[in-house]
Parts: sequence; C-alpha cells; structure tokens
Amino acid sequence: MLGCLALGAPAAAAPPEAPETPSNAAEETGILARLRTLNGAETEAARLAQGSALSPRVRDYAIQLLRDQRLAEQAVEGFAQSHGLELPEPEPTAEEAGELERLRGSRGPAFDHAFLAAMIADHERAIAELGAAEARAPDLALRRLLRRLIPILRQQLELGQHLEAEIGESG
Amino acid sequence: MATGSAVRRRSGLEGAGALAFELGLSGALAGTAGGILLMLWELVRSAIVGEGFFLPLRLVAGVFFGVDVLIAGPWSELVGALVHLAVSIFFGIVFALLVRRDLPYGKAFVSALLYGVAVWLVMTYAVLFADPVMRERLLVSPADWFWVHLLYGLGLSTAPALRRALFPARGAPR
Repeated sequence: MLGCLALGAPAAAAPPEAPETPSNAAEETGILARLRTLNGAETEAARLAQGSALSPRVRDYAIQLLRDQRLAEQAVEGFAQSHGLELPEPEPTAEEAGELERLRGSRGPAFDHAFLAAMIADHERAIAELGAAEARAPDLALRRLLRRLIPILRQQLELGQHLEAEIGESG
Repeated sequence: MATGSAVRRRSGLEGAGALAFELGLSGALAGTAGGILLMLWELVRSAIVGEGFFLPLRLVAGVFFGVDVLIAGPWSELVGALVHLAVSIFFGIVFALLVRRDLPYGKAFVSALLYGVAVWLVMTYAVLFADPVMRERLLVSPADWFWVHLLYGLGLSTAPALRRALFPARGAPR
C-alpha cells in the first residue's frame, strides 16, 4: 500500500477533449514548448553530470533528474498528441546555452558546484515560469498536468539545494 | 510442518489469547501476501516506466528521510520494505478481525476488495500526508495508486482460508 510510485507516463496523457480554439491551441503549444525547452536544457546538463561529476551523490542526482525528465517529456508528448498539438523543437535561450557551455568547460569539484548551482537556478526559473503558465493555461487538463509536474520540480530543487549545502560543508 | 493449532498448544495459548494468536497470525500472513503482491507490481512497473526498480521502496522510506531518499542508498530501500511490510501486516490483522473464519472464498474475495478500497481511502486522505515526497509523485498517476490496493485486497482474501488451514481444530466459527 505504501509502495506506489509515481510518474506514470500513460496516466499523464490526458484523454482527448473538445476541439481547441486556435488561440487556446497557440497558448497551449507555447506553454508546452517552453516546458520541453526547460526540460531539454536540464537533460543536457544532467547527461554531462552523469559522466563528469566527481561526487557519486551528484551523479545519483543527475540520474534521478534524467529519469524524471524522461517521464515529464513523455507526459508532454502524450498531452500534445491527445490534443492534436504540434510542438516545435526545443529552443534554449542564450542564457541556457551559455550555462551548458560553462559546464562543459568545468572539471572535478568545480563541475559539481557549477552543475548544482545551474540546476538550482534552472529549477527556480522553471517553477516560477510553470506556475505562471498554470495560472493562464486555458485548458483544465493542461493546468492539471502542470500541477502534477511542478511538485516534482520542487523536489528536484530541494534535493539540489541539500546537495549543494552538503558539498559546501565537505569543502 | 506444525499447524498453528500445534504451535498454540505448545506455547500454552488458550482462550482469548489463542483467538488473538489465530487472528494475528492469519491476518499477518494474508497482509504480507497482499503487501508483497502490491510491492512486486510497483517495483516491476517502476522499472518498466524508467524510474528504477527500487524507487517505490525508497519513496516509502521518504516518510523518515524526506526528499533525500531519492538518491539514498540500499539502507533506504530496506527501511522502505520494513515500513511497507509493517503497514501491510497491520491492515491484514484488522481485516482478519473483521471477517469470519468460515467465510467462503468468493465472499472473502469481494470483502477483501472492498476492504482494499477502504485502505486506499485511509492511505490517501490520512497516511500519505506524512510522506509528501511519495504523495506528490503519486498525484501524477492516481489510477495506479487505486488499482494496487485492489491487488492488496486480493492477497488479503486468503485470510479466512489461512485461518481454517492453520487452525483446523477450532470449534465455533468467529
């Protein structure tokens, strides 16, 4: 009874609903595209950390991020498919692309600090953006999807903050 | 292998103590069976969807360790298994107290499924608030959370049959 998980991709794909109006569809596409972009940038950083992080705990964190992000991506794709929305390819902002470049140039303990700092900043931004998107989303199913994903992002943020404090203490 | 009656005789348990032992043992075994069924389903499902085989056990341990449990080691899985088993046994014993030992399997099956739904309600609206990490992840797939409690009920439905098999010498049904 206490053992059930979690981010089930099939359940996250909402059943088809009434046809979208063009303005609603554009709004929803915009929100989902941004969600994918945020997710994509974090996925790239987590992949880097899997190979480059010095601390095994930071590598475990990266693995957990990758697992959650894959399921979030499936949920977004499922939603888009069931609502007949065509999502553009993710386009990271210049700031997000620069962040990845900085990570690629880091090694050892500096990488761990840079990765955790980047994840904390990214998650804070993502939570704020998706919170605002939830408030303006025209569709109940999309609001529900965002309401389910935001707490997972908060968990990832909290975990990143704990790890940063832990690594900071250990020098 | 000694039956429950033989164990009871050897240990000198009689009267109310004997009945408590009978209910406790059969309920604990049925609860364990239901708990194992539920957890096996969740472990396999978690592995298939890509969240990792042991995540469900870690999430249970989240009640003690919070969000850090997501990257905790095997000890957290052990704690999760023990907590899950304890809760499964507790609800199993309560079920054994509620049903008669002579209940036919068909009726026991339906009763156990209904009881599984009751356990789902208690877990969802009371117990889960103690483990926000697990609760927030369950919100993503609430249907699965409901269904596994029916699976738990399936395991529990063996409780009356277990009582009859382990304690055959008992006279009046209760």
